[in-house]
Amino acid sequence: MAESFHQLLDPAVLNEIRHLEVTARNVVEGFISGLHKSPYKGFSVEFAQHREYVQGDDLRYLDWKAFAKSDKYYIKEYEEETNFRAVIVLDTSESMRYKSGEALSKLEYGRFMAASLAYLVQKQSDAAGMALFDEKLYDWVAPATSHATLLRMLATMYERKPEKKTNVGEVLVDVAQRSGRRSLVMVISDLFDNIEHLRKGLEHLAARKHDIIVFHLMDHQEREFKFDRLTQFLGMEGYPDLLVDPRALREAYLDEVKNFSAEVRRMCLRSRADFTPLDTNTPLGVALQAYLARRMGRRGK
Amino acid sequence: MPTWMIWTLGLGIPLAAAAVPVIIHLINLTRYRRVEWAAMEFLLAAYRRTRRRLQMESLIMLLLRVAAVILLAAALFPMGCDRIKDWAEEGLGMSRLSLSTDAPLHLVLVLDDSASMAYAQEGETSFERARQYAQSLVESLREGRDRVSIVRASDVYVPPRTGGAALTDAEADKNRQRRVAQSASLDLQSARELISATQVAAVDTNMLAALREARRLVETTPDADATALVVVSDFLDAGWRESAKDGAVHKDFVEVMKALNDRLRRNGGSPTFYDVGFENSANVAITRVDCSERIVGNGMEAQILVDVEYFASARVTDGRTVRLKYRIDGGSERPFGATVELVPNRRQDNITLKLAPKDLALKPEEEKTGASRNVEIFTEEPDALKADNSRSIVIHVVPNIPILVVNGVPHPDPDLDETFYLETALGISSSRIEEESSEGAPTRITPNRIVSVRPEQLGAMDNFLDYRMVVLANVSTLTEATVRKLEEFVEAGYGLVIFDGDQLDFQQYNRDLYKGGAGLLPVKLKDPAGNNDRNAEGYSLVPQANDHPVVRLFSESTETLGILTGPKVVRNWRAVQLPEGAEADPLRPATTVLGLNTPAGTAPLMVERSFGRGRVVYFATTAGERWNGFWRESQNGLPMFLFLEMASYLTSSEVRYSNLAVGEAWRRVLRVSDIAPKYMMRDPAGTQAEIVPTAEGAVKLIEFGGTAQPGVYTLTAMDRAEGGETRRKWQERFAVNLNARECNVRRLTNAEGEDAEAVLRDALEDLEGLTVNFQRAGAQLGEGALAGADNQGGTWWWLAIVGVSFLLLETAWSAVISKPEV
Repeated sequence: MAESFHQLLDPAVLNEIRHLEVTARNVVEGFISGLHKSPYKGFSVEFAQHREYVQGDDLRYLDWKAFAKSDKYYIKEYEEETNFRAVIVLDTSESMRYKSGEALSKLEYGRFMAASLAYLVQKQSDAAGMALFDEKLYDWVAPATSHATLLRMLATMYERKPEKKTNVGEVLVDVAQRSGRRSLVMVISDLFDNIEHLRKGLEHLAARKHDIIVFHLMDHQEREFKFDRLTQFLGMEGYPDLLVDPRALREAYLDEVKNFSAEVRRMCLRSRADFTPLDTNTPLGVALQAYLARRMGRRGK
Repeated sequence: MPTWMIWTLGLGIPLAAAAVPVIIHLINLTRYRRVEWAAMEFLLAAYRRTRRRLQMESLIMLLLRVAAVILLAAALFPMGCDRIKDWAEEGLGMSRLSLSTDAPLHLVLVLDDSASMAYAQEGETSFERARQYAQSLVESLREGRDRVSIVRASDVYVPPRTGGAALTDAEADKNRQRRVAQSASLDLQSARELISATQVAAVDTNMLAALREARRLVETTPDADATALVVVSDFLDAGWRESAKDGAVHKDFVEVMKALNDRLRRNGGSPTFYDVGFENSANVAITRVDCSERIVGNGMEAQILVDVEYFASARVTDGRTVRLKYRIDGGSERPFGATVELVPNRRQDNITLKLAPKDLALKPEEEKTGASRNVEIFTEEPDALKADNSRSIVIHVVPNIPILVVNGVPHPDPDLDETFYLETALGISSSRIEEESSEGAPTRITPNRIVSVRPEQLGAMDNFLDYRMVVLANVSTLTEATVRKLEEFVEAGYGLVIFDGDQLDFQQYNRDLYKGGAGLLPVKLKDPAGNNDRNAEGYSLVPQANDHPVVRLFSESTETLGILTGPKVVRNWRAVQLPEGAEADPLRPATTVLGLNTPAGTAPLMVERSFGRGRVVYFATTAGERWNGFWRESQNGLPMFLFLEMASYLTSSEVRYSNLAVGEAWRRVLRVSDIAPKYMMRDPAGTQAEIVPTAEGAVKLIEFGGTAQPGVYTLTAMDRAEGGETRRKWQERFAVNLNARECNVRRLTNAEGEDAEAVLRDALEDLEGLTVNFQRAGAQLGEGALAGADNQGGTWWWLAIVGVSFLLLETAWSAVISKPEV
């Protein structure tokens, strides 16, 4: 880790990190400025007290149970979360290196997304941590609210080279153990792993009362498979090569992808995790919006 | 064009074209892009799931491309396709037809099954070759789609109708059916069985008639169907010469071939001639067996005359020898004559076999009814065509031949009696004449038994059917009933001789016997034209019909002819008028056999005309000495020879049917004494069948048309005996022999010695657009034979269109399966 920090002194690295941070800040600030302020308040999860309703309060926070008992309107107020912990789990396996055309690779997209989320969390004075993995969890940045932690997370993401296989199931078990306190675990991965392993990992997290958001990140081409001529597909993560006319395989391939996504979605539902499919062409803001909408919808239940 | 070029252009181009899609496919396989792919697990799963389908699609695509290009190339280079088909047929054993068009094919097979097809060489007959080839043709057809017609080229004998009337449509159709063995049938199994069952018929080839039937069948083929005509024959001179350019039926042959060719060309085909004959063929044949006597009286001797001919193809130059043998009624073999020296294509005439009276003598039980003797002549060693190595003749041996002589002017003085000399001459056998012989036994020389009556006795006779000839000599008039009985008698096949004379009422004869040309009398009578004075100058006879049997007897040499023409003995005769205009009947013309050499020209003296199945001879002079000096003045036996020969000729009507060619109908008039409850016919193979007699007017007769096999046939009249059993009443045999024409195994050649193919090409050279496909035994079925539509330009264009359609379909399919789904 010390070596990693040492690398941060490299102007090129610093410039890259800065680029990441700036991008993340721009994404988050731009995103936030377009929202109503209530999401700020609503981002906490700890209940504080009731107060009487006054005109202009958001009806979403009206306590209908209290109204039923007392025939008076009370608003539920939450304490600002000062000890909220979010752990961003980013897949850096070889498969995340894939990119089609001029688009970002899945890993690049994942880095921006992770940085944005971390920035967003710290912006609310919450603690954000990070875990990077491929075959195993190899970088762990414990959740903290400091800017230094953010920079460290960014540097950690930058230095990691994608070259090994995915083992997301085992990594999630590891994350669950390391997180200790109840946390919000956000998994950013293409999930190209054994589905049973993934299921076990998610169940393990859920058993530890962690909130889970799964961002299933795929390249646009991986979702659409629009190839038009004979192609040799060079397998990543140890898979064999395949020479085939993709036009003839497209239908069957899309079926496989669709079935896999559906299965992951079912597992997430069972583990009370949010499932958000994304592709690398999706604007980051749209991804965050989708996340927050789901997050707030969950808190309202 | 040289062969190598045909192969290069014809086969090379289509094959190279066929390789193009494969090469393009292989090149495409080397031109692909590489992409690193993360979601490989999904891709591999999809690939595993669809691998088989993808491989099949890829293969189908490739085949479609190859097929399309081949078809396109085939359209542009059809000869290459023929090469491919030949190669497929020979190399892969594939059926030719299976490669040809899908259009139904009508195969019309003209199969020569005439007698010469039995010619064998190297243990195989021409017909076995033909049958084998015909089977292979039928095998190559497709069951349920193609049809076969089989026409036999052997001649079908059509029995003559009474009076020479034309055949009715029904009869003509029946005859046609006998020639067409199978007509446009989808039943290929039946065709195969029919070909297997067909045997060589012992009759001539009638190729023209067969081709006419083939034409009729070909023209019934629907336009959309392909038609093929294959003629399988041995192409011998005898069967085909008349169709050649200088042949008698060449014009008809060309006409029928033109019609056939016109129909075949519509499908791009042409007739195929398949030659199953053998080169260097040679055949010794007994071509004629005749007897010196038409009917042999019991105790008479007979001479059998045999012709032997050595037929050989042009390349056969060596002669050979042959020994002849004979047997009577299936008895022991006996040699006769010296060894016969034979030269190719020369005939040895009149090899004589003398049969002594004892050889033919009637047995005691036959002395009343007479008998027929079968004399079989055969060569000691059979050769390549066995059917003509033997020949049979049936000789009728009778106790006597009854002749009724009606004496119009009886007189005790022989010189004044009308029939004294005539009866003496005709009945010379009745008093046995001693002849110098080694045995010293008397030998009978004529079988005649003369019964002489006066005209007034005729009315008491029911009919004349117990006689074989009736002679009217200077009979003045005849009653209507007598005329009717005479007509019935002659119509049944017997002979009538009418001698003129001063007593004869010629006007009554003209009215009742001439009947305006429809009656018995051959000519219309006029007044006498000569001088009745016994001292007047006589005139000599002049032959008018040299092939007439009576004249032929005298035609052997100048000396014998002098016997006939030398004596000037006829002083008086009656002028006559031959039937003319409406009285003439082309089907029974009046033939002047002998004329009289008068200063005013030749006057008819002996005129013959048929009536029903019999014949009538009119003499314009008297039978006795009143108008001529035949008997006393001609010192050379002229009247005896003349009248004996005439009697032999007129009494031999039954003998005419005793020796027949294959297919000719046999018939026999039943006299009252011949009628029996049952008649059985046995053929040479020993098969027996009952024959039912027919009737023509008052005359009962037996007719038998089933003379399909050479050999001796036997008719037995069965009578009822006591106890309900039957016994033989009488028996008569007749011989059926092969037509000598079929013995000629010389190959068809032209003047330059070129073979049948050249002759056919010459014969058909004027036919526009005709390709003569001529093949020899052993050759594979050649181009244009069964191909029908194979060579059809239109079909290839159709195939080309299909090919292009394949390409478009493939392109469209590719576009559909490669279209991304949104």
